Amino acid sequence: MSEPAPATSTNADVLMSLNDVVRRFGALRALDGVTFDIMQGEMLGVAGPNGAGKTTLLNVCTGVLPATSGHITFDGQAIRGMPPNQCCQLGIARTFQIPQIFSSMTVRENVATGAEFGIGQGGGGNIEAHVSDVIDLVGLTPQQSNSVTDADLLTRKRIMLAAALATRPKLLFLDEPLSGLNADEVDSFVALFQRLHAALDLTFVIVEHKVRALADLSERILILNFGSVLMIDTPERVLSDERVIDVYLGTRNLA
Amino acid sequence: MKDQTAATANQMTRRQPSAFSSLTFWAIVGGLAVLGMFVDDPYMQHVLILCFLWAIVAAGWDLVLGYAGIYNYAQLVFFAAGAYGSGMLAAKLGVSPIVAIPLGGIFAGFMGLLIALPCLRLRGEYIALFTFAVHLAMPPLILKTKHWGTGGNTGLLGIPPIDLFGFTIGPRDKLAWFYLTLAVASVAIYIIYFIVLRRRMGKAFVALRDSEDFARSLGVSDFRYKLLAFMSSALITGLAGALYAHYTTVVTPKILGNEFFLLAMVMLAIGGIGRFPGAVLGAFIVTIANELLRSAGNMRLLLLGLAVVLTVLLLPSGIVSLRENFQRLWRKTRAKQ
Ligand SMILES: Nc1ncnc2c1ncn2[C@@H]1O[C@H](COP(=O)(O)OP(=O)(O)OP(=O)(O)O)[C@@H](O)[C@H]1O
Ligand SMILES: [Mg+2]
Repeated sequence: MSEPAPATSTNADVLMSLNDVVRRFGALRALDGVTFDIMQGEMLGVAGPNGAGKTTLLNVCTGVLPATSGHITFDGQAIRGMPPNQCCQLGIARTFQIPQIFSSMTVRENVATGAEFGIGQGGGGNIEAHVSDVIDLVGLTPQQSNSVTDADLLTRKRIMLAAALATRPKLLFLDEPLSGLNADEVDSFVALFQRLHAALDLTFVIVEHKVRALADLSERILILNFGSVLMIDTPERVLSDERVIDVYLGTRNLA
Repeated sequence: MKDQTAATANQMTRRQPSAFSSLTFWAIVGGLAVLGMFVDDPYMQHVLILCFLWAIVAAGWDLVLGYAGIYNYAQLVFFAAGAYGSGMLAAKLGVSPIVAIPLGGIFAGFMGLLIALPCLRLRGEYIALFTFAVHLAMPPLILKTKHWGTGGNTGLLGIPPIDLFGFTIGPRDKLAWFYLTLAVASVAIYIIYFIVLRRRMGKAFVALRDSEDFARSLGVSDFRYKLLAFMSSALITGLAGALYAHYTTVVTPKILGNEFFLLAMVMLAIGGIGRFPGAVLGAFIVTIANELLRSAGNMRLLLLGLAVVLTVLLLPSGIVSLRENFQRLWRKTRAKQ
């Protein structure tokens, strides 16, 4: 981990590449010329102050919001302007900062929705077995036939994660997956992500304010500030960087 | 408002499959078919025919409003499109009603597409505003296009009866109409609730209704499935309109008036949306109540309004939730003993 991790590279194992991406909301530049690469198989952490544009970055990378300008490629294919359902079928999945759920379905039906609609061409196979596998991997097997209306926050997050995994993604974006969880729950989720990363051929981008957990998980951390990349490097370097301490870490204790 | 509707709609869809099997459904249809042999009063036959036609409209509306969660208030526009489309083809161009009726449905489906396209760019309440504006714009449009043969205010007259292999089913042949509308209604309702809503399409509707963002992130195309919801609902409702036109032989802009609109709303409110058989039950109850109240004259709409207020206050998820409420009560009293 002593080699400097470059922001962009011409390497063949780049999975997603952003080039000078801008997203405006009226006069506000929520993303202001963002350029970086997501490498195949890595765990990339994203952190930054509230309102820095982290969720907007995820929205732009997953097709929820079109970029105002700039280029985004995934697997060598330009995806700017593609709707989220199409991005999903290409292999881009995500979870939401505010947990989303299909409240009229059972746990299993929630997850199966991802398998039924999200798997792109040629990814078929045995859907039911695949759904069972994903439910098992995320630890929802005992609750799978329950209705989701009484599910607690942790269960909701598991369901959202399982549904995203059921789409057979290559790249998974997680928006503050640990927020609202207590210390034990954070540990179990961190372990779960590590398990998933080892078991599946999957690249992770994790937005998180819990910097300790993020440093444990990530190979690189990207700090976003006012819509721009402040730095992107190994956790050690990022967490000891003067500018990062100044704009982000200084204001909070390293929880 | 959105969350509430979704939440109520939810509890229903979940219990729906076990609560109502297709066997029960066809048994009831068979029962109605047998009933037809014993009802020989033309007025009662007429009321039942109206019940069947309204059941199609209510089911079509339930599909888009209750299950797909799209606030479409232009449902009667599709009914009118089917009625005018088929009526004009038959009365003005001499097309056989057997051909004109399905074409009326297809025309309504096309209207569904036209109305759906702008709705794809709108959210929630704005869809309600837009579609209701379309509904309001229809009667003046029918008057303005009088020279195309819509009949303007007097209505489209002389719509020919159905001619089936030499048999003419005129407005007086109530028994034939009874079985025809029963057949179309049961097939339409079966297709909506037992085929469309239980397959991939229905799952997409409910997913988009429950959480559009989540559904899209999982690969559900909101574009495709919202169009499909609008178009299939419009097509089925248009068929009911076309049948209605050939049954009554007259179509006037009154079918877009306040009374019809209110009746349809009351059906869904009383029956309960998004949980079969709520809307269909509501269509029967409201059509029959509306006839029973004919003698009440102007008080009728007031009484119907009162019925809605009471159901919304006492049974927010419609009559169809009565059974569950009873079950809950039953369990509670038993638990106390
Ligand atoms: N749909 C929108 N319309 C207008 N402004 C928006 C929209 N979405 C985000 N913004 C603005 O863009 C900026 C970035 O917001 P974003 O949600 O991406 O921040 P974030 O880094 O995810 O913050 P947090 O840590 O609080 O989740 C904020 O100033 C926000 O108010
Ligand atoms: Mg955010």
